[in-house]
Amino acid sequence: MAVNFPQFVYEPNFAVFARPVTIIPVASQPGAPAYPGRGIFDTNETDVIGLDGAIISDQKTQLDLIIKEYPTLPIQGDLVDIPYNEDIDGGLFEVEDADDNGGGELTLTLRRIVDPKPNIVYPVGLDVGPPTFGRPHLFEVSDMIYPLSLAVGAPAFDEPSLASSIVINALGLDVDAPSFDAPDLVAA
Amino acid sequence: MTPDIHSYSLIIKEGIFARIKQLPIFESVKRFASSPMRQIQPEHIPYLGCYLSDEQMLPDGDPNAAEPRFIHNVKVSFSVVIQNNIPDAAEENLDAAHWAIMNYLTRQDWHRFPMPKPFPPVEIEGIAKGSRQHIFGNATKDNETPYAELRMDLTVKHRTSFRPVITDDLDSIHVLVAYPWPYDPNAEEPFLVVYDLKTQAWRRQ
Repeated sequence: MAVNFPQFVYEPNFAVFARPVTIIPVASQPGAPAYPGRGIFDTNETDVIGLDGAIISDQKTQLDLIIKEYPTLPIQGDLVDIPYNEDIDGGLFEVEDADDNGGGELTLTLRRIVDPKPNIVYPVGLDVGPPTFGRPHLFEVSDMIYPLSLAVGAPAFDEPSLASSIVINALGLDVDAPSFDAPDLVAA
Repeated sequence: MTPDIHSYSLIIKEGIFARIKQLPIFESVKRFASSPMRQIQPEHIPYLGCYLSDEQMLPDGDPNAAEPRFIHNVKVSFSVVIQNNIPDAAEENLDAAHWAIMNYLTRQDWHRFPMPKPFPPVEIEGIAKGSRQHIFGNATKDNETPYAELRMDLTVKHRTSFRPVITDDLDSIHVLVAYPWPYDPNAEEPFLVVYDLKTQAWRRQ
């Protein structure tokens, strides 16, 4: 007989470790009001690897929910407000990912709502004006170069001729490999 | 930073970085970094890094003739890290940062970096290559902060020549002439001929 994980495992644990949260279902139920819930909040160190191996320090933050407590589950884009609770801060987050563990628990991977930095950039951007947009002048090039190239013919395609060595050999010429000219370090 | 102590490549990189820092678009940057040595913390965003990512040195002419001479291809990289929950706004910010750095090339003196006397100005011959990428968060996109990073680079070209420093100049040649051969010391007095040579030491005077 299968174990009822929500009843015997998650509910006792959530009774001890879960904290109150508010789900704002802007993606899963647009226009619906926010509703209260509970979840186990967890955040751990994770690094973002930047250019040339630079480390951008960050956290991986998750919230576990018991699936049966939510008629409509949160999805990517929903907001989760996790208020200050039992001396531990929370914050306002956006759901980035939602994973079902197959046992009745949903893990939300959260992205913190932050002030944009920088706030605005483009109005103070190009103070000397944009660089010139370059266009290839195909018409002029073809007009001038093409007739000239026909007048003098195409250049010969230069490729190595393997057959020529046979001819040289037949003429009795020396076809030995050139000697390897090693620098004489001692003499120098 | 002068070429008696530091390479032209680093001087060029630092010269470009010093000018990029002055662009108005980067006035809100919280940390400017010359290398990726230190971790970037949330309080350092917006972040602008300028790194000497790579340098390839190819022979300038025949490698086995004359002194060692090189054509340097120096990859100067820029890392601009911002944060924004809105993906489109994040990308627009990265693009604006990229365009501002590219716009640096419209400066009349973008390629020239004055040096204190007695060193001549350091100059870039050209830009051989460039690239850029927009990176959003970590590989699995599960980090908490909505970071976005512009990674771009410009590969600048310059040359060096490592001429030998001559410390034992051939200043003169002394030739004792005894003639005819076989020489008879009782018949003719030998005499000395001194050839003074215009060597590097003479030219330096």
